[in-house]
Parts: sequence; C-alpha cells; structure tokens
Amino acid sequence: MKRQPDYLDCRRALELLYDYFDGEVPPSDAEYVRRHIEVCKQCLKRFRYEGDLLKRIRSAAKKSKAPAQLRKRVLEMCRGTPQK
Amino acid sequence: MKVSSRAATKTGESDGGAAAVLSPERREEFERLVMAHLDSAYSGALRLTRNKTDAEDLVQDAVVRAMRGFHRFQSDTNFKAWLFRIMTNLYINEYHRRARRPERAEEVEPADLGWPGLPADPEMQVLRRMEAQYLHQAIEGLPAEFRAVVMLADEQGFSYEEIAKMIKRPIGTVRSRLHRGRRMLMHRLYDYAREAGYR
Repeated sequence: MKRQPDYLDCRRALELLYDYFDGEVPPSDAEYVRRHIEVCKQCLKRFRYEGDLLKRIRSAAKKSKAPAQLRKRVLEMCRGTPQK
Repeated sequence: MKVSSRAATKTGESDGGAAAVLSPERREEFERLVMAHLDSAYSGALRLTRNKTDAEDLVQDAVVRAMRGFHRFQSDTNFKAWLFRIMTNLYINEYHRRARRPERAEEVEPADLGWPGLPADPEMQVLRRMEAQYLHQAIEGLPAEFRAVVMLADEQGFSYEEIAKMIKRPIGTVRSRLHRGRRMLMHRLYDYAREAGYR
C-alpha cells in the first residue's frame, strides 16, 4: 500500500526546493521531489509559487547595455590605442 | 596615457602594456570575447556596486586584469565565468570596502529566515502583476554577499560550482547564501505587496 506523505516528507521536499529548480540535485532526489508533489497538494502549491517567483526574478534580471563610453574605453584597452 | 585613466588610477596599473604582451591573434580573440560579454559584465557590475560610475570602473578594472591573465586562459573554457570570477573578486576585495553607498546593515534579516505564509490564490495573482521595479528594489536592498550570489545564479545563470570558484567559498556556502537571499527577496516582495495595499 502506498504510504501517505507526512511532515518529514514535506520538509525534505521543501529543503530540496531551490536545488531542484536550480538543477543541482542528483536524479534520485529530483525523482523524490516529483513523486512527492504528485501526491502532496500543499507542496505542489509551494513549488508552483516558488517556481513562479524564481522565473520572475530571472526574467526581471538586469540586462543593461554597457554605455557607449565604456565600450569605447574597453576597445581602447584591447587595442592599446585610443579609438576615434 | 588617457585610456581608462580612472580604472588605471584605481588599480595602480596601466593597461597599455597588457595589450602589448598578447600576440595579435590572441589580442583579437580577447577583444572578441570581452566585447561579446561586456553587456553582461556591466549588468552584473551594476548589481554589485549599485552605482553606474563604480560599475564602469569595476568592468574596466576587470578587463585590465583579464587581459593581463589572458595568456593563462584556456580557449575551451568558459570566458564569461572567468571574467565574472575576476570581476567578483575585485569587487569583494577592493570595491566593496570603499562602497559609495553604504550597506544598510539594519536591513539584514535575522539568521533564522523561515518561509513566509503562502499567499492565497487571489494574492498570488496580484504578486504576479507586481512591477519589475519592486524586484529590482528588493534585489538592490539585499546585503552584498547575498546580492552577489543571487545576481550570479539567477541573473547570469552560473552553476553553484562556478559561483563557488568565483567567490572562493565552498559550494555549501553558495547554496546557503543563495537560498537565504531568495527567501529575503520573497519576504521583501511580500512586504511590498502588503504596503501597496494588495492585501
């Protein structure tokens, strides 16, 4: 008979949460997480929420263009000569 | 020499010599690689220093050092990770000490950061709609050591192992800083949402 997940299962799944999203868990732990959130609605909800938040952090990543002056100076450094 | 005088003044090094020691082929390779990653480097530097002037200086200093060490760089390895390692170390060892904007130590969260309560579904919808600016503010408000790993992992996509090499700390330290940093972010976003009347 399949064992119902208990508090310790939830705690372990939540401990693995960020590693899981970062792809930093061994396959056996990833499988553990997948199986757990299949049967535990509370953890599934938590994983969805956290996953969504991580996605937003990643998509809001600061992607600034290097200012023209900096590009120019770096080119000068690379070439060892001032650029016109 | 006028070239990168600001950066050169800070490191006490001149960069003209660094370009000269590389063969023309290696110099071209360096230029191609560094220009391909310049926007990322600047974005990362901006996160670390939270200041445009310091960010530009930090990138320039990192480029000077990278150029000097380029003869040791192996072409089949990850140039971006290598450049970020130089830049992050430079920041930790030199820039962070004389930051123009002091760290707001009082904002550091208590050591034991639990999970905030999971919002009910309607609140979740609202949180999703929150402006990206809150996220930027929240990331900027993180203490430097947490901000650095969040930037390196979530914004630049480096692995725990790569980050560990960059900041010269064990993987376990990277993991705990990253996880704590993210939890701090969650708490702050949650607070922003409440302050904004989303509750």
